[in-house]
Amino acid sequence: MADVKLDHVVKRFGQMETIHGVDLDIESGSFVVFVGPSGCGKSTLLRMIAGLEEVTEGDVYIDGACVTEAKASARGIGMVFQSYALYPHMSVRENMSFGLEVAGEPKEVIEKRVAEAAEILKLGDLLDRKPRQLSGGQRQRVAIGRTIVRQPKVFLFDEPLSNLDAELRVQMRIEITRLHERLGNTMIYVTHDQVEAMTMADKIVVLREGRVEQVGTPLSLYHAPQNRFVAGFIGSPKMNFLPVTVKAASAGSVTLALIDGQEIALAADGAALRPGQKLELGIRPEHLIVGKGGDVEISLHCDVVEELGGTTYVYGDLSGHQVIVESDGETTIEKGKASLFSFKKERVHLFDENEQAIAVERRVAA
Amino acid sequence: MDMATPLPGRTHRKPGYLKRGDRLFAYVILAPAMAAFLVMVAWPFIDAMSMSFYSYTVYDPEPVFIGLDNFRTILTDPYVLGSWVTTAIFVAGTTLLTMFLGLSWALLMYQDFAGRGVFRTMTLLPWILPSTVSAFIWAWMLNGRYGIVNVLMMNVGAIDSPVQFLSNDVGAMVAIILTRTWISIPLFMSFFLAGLQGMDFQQIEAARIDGAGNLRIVKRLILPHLKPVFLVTGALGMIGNLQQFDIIFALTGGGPVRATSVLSIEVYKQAFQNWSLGMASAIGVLWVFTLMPIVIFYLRSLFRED
Repeated sequence: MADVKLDHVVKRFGQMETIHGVDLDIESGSFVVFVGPSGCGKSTLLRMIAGLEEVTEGDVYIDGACVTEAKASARGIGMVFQSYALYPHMSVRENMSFGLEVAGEPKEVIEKRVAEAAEILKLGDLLDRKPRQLSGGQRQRVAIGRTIVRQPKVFLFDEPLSNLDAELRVQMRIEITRLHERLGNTMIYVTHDQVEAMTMADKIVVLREGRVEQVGTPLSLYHAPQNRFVAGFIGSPKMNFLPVTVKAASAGSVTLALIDGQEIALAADGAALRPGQKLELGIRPEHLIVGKGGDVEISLHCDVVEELGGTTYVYGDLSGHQVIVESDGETTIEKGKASLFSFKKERVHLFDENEQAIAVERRVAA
Repeated sequence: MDMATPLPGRTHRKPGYLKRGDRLFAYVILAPAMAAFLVMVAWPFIDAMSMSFYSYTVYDPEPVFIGLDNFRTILTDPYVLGSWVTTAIFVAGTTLLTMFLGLSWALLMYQDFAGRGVFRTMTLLPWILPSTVSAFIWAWMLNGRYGIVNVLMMNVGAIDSPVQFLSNDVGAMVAIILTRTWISIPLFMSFFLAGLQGMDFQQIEAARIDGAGNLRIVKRLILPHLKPVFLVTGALGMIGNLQQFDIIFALTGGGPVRATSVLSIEVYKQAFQNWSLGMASAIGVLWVFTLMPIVIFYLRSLFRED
């Protein structure tokens, strides 16, 4: 187990800066997920921790030691790749032994550690097979096994489940979570899938264009996103955003005009707001109620209804803005007609012109 | 189960078998290629094979059937037999050196560095030059009086006085091996580079994390990955080098004396210097049988399904 610290880490490829001074503290034994859209720099950041990518500026610390200039093999890390990166001409056993052989470990130690890892990952019957004779899930388990035998201080996972089908992805997700509970090592996991991030992480790091947007527990990111990007990225389907105009504002309350003309008063920090200012109101699809029952009622013209059995998604229109509603499978909404929906004020998020969140008083635990 | 019902698959034709109409069409579109093959390849080969059983020189107004005499002569003539040894040295030396340098160059060109594209393009230069031009360039560089090789070797103190490379046995053999290698490197490098680019780079990164150094990565990962490329380039290289004529003829003409007289040169000399077409054909036939195992190995590797 070891903690990981990034101290103002910058990465430039030629003239192009892709990571802009990232500071991050990862506690020993935690499961941290880097999440963000394609090209946000999450894999580059992981590869810099691994030592596979040079750090242009700043420092990387593992277990208190500065490893910025250290070789990948000297950092005490193990890495699982998206492509599995198994050695195709070697058997599962040889794949798992390779790192220990290179380290000059005695044969008995190698055999013992491979056997232990094989037992943890249920690979006992597959040790003499070649990677091409394994399924995608089995290959990924071998890739994890190859990392386990080296007993690294920190495990790094670079989108390890992206090549698997949906069912296997869920299964492997659970297996990796169990593995973390069993081994207790620090694990850093990169994914673009926010469901993976929400279900696996102790702490999520949301990245956009080489910058950290927010760091926090999955539920804190869900309930209290610090900006519009995080609010839109965490949660599926993504949060609805509606333009609103400030009518009146004070330190403890804000009155807003919705695009359908109605005014709503929120218990929010309006000290810095002025009348006429354009804001965005965010409301998650699962926080919209079919019919009455909320504090604010809106009428949506519903054009698409997706019934998935347990859940129903309704796609409606509010004065030219699409609004998605997530409801239970019992909901019956007629397509092509206007229907009434509502929401509670405490579920609302507010964002200013700079996409930063404005604090709204809520009775929901964050 | 109804016994009259055909078992699944029984009614299907074997793969590769065509319907009657399709078969006729297949023969029609195959005919031009078959005709070209028969006229350009099969007939000359059969003619040469039959000629190998005849004595046909400037002294013979007509070919005289002599059975296996040509082959007996070849197998008892130390000079002609020596051509096989010379050929073996040339083929082994050239093929091994080209594979080693082609792979080394491919490994260099696989690295990420500024100007890689320019270097890769420049590497193809020896390949696009006519081989006789390359041969004359090397003859000039190896020249005993004004060749740059002599100048460089004298400057670094490797030799005290200029060496007539092409006038001694070893020097001439080294010269033809070097020239042929220089010309072949681009093709071999392309094969190896294509093989390297087909490799998952994350395997190398995984090995780096496992602590493997460059040599171990080459030995344990890259060479096993390139095994099929080695088989194909090895076979192709041997076939090409066994057939080599123009460079050797332009550079040494098979000399000094017979030091670089490989099979192709020997056939040429028998046919167009000694005017012994029967003997030239007999050497040619044995030459084909020398090539045959390598060709069969190459074709088997090429069409093997896995």
